[in-house]
Formats: sequence, C-alpha cells, structure tokens
Amino acid sequence: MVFIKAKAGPPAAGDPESKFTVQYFDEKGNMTIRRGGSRSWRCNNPGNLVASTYSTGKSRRSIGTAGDKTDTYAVYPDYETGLEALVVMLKGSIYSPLTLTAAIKRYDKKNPKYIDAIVKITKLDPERTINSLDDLEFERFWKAIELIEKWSIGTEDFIEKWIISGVHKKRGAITEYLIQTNHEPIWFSKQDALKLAFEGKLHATIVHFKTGTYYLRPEYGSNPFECVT
Amino acid sequence: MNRIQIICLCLVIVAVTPLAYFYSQRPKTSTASIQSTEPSITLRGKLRLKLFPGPPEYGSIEEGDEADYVWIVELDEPSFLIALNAPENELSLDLADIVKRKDAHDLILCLDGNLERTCEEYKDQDVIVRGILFHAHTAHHYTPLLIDLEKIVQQYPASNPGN
Repeated sequence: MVFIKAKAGPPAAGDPESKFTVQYFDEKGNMTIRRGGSRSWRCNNPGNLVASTYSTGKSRRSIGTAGDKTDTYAVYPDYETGLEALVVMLKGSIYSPLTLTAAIKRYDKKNPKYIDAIVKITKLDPERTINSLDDLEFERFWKAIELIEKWSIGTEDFIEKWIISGVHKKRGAITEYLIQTNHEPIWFSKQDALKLAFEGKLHATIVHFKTGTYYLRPEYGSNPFECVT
Repeated sequence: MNRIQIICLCLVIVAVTPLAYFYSQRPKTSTASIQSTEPSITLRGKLRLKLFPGPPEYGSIEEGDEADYVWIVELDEPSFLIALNAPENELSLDLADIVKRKDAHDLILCLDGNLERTCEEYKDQDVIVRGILFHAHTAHHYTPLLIDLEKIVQQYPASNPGN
C-alpha cells in the first residue's frame, strides 16, 4: 500500500494528549491509523526529525506532518524514506565534518549518555568524524541512533473509504444511499451516510446549505450518483 | 570633564569590559571551529534551568515521559533579532514558524560537563554566550533555537547611577 498523504489524528482513548495518532491515506482515500508504539514508528521517521524545510522538503518525500501542540514531526510514506532522511542529514554538510561526539551533542543537545551508548553499540572511536567512517561503520552509527531513538510497533487500523454506487430518491430528493462496504452493498439513510462522510469514510463531498442542512454530492471528476429505481 | 561625562565613561567601561574579557578568553582553536565552517555567534540573555518532558513522547512527565532539565538562555530582544538573522543552512526552520512560537526567545544550550558547572554558577543571571547557532531538527530540540556552546560568561549588570 502506497501512502500519499498523512496528518495527525486525535490520541487513542486513554492515551495522553501528546500521544497523537497518525492517519495515513492511500491513493484510493483509504485511511490507516497508527496508534501506540513509538513516535518514530507512528511517523515512519526513525530519526525523530521534526518538521523543517529539510525534513519536509521535496527531496525528502515526506507526505505530511504530525504532532501535538508543542512539536511537529515529518511523516514519511514508509520506513525506508524516513531512514533516508536521517542518513542524508548525517551525511550532509552540517553533520559529516563533526566528530561522533560533536554530532551527537548536536543531535541530542547534551546527554552524555547518548554518545556513551553509541560508542558501546558501535565500538567506534567517538573522536572520529562522520565523514571518516567507511560504509559499514557509518551503517553501525546510524543503526545505533535508530536503536536509541526507539522503533516500537503499535497498532494499525485500516479504514476503507467506501463508494456510493446508487441513490434512492423521493420527489427529486435523495433519501437513501447505496454504499459499497467491505463485504456487500448496503442501503444507508441520508443521515447515516452523512455521518460516514463526516468521518471521512465515504468518497463524497459534503455540501451544506445556508439553512444548515447538508447533502452529499459526487467527488470532483467522478460520475453522478445513479438513481436506483 | 564634568560629573555626567565621568558617569557616562564609567557606564561604557562597565558595558564593554565583559565583552572584551569574553573575546580575550576565546579559545583559539575550539573543537567546533576545527570541525565545522559554521560561524560562531554571540548572544545575551538570562540563564535559566528549565524542565521539559523528554522521551519517549516528549509530552508530559506526569504521563511517564523522562524529566529533562535543560539550560536555556532567555534571549533579550536585540540578541533574538541577531539569532533570527544568523545565516541559514540546510537544516534551518522557516523564520515565520520560529517567531510564531511562544518559546521563540528561549535558546537551548548544547553543552558538556565543564560548561554545565559554569552554568550552575551563573543560574538566573544575565550571561553572554558564544557558539554555533542552529535550529531545532530532532525531537530532542525543545525550542526552535539552540546553540552549540563554546563559551559562557556572566554579563555584569549595567551599573545604575547610584553605584
């Protein structure tokens, strides 16, 4: 499944406010919600990179951002793309001339424990510069960062976006919608269909009148709803 | 020279002395300058020790996140403007995003053990810091502006006319 868009969702029931969920959308509009686990996993961002011109730039191929009221993180379509963002940053002009000690001080801001852990895991000399590491050593280095940043898998919920395949009309007004659910087509009342649309589970555009009433119309570019007699 | 001129001269001396000391004490070959071509910057403000919620969720210590004590300098307005106008690099944030944040004036100090002891000495005092400024780019960076600290000195209070 290829995700093309992502955004933050509300925390799962019982979770603190900071434990935001991440909603991923594929090209068909289906939604996958990631909850629990580590932030890095929820955002497909093993380096825990916050949203910036770098991490959300076109060349990094992020598909959105997610976060709580204090911090926003880049969200990537998959683990590999997120990892690439970390690796490219470490190989870039800012980090690569630094020693491992200086680089980790920059990455973590202080914590002497971090560089100690890196040295323990990688067995590399902390006074070597990143650009002096060969490919295998560099791989040990980023893998150690990834390990310390933690990648723990939580729960994924898949919510398919359903299609309206027909409508019932009474005196020209739509009263029911025929919705292609996961298993079979089901007739939903206008009220229930609207509820699904508000939850983002229907391929339909919600329109509201000045009077405060709502109705559904086909998404832009798709065929009109077919009236079933 | 009348009394007012003497007072003005004293004020200038008091203001300039810490800076002169600061520059005279600069290490000639700091680790950062050997490794990086990034320019150092000098900023002023009040030194504070702040508590932030750390890993894993960086949201709430009560909910189980690590308590992370961090030294920060609350930048004065001129220093904040200097920081905003510092040269940008590939990891920079959008300046508009920095200004929007409530903690925009808070500058996190990235430091090692020795400088940490100096910070304890100057806690809640006005300080001058020198180092390489950079913008937040990982979850560990709680404020938009940070400095890879090379030196910190106390900023002597501008003497009031009564002194």
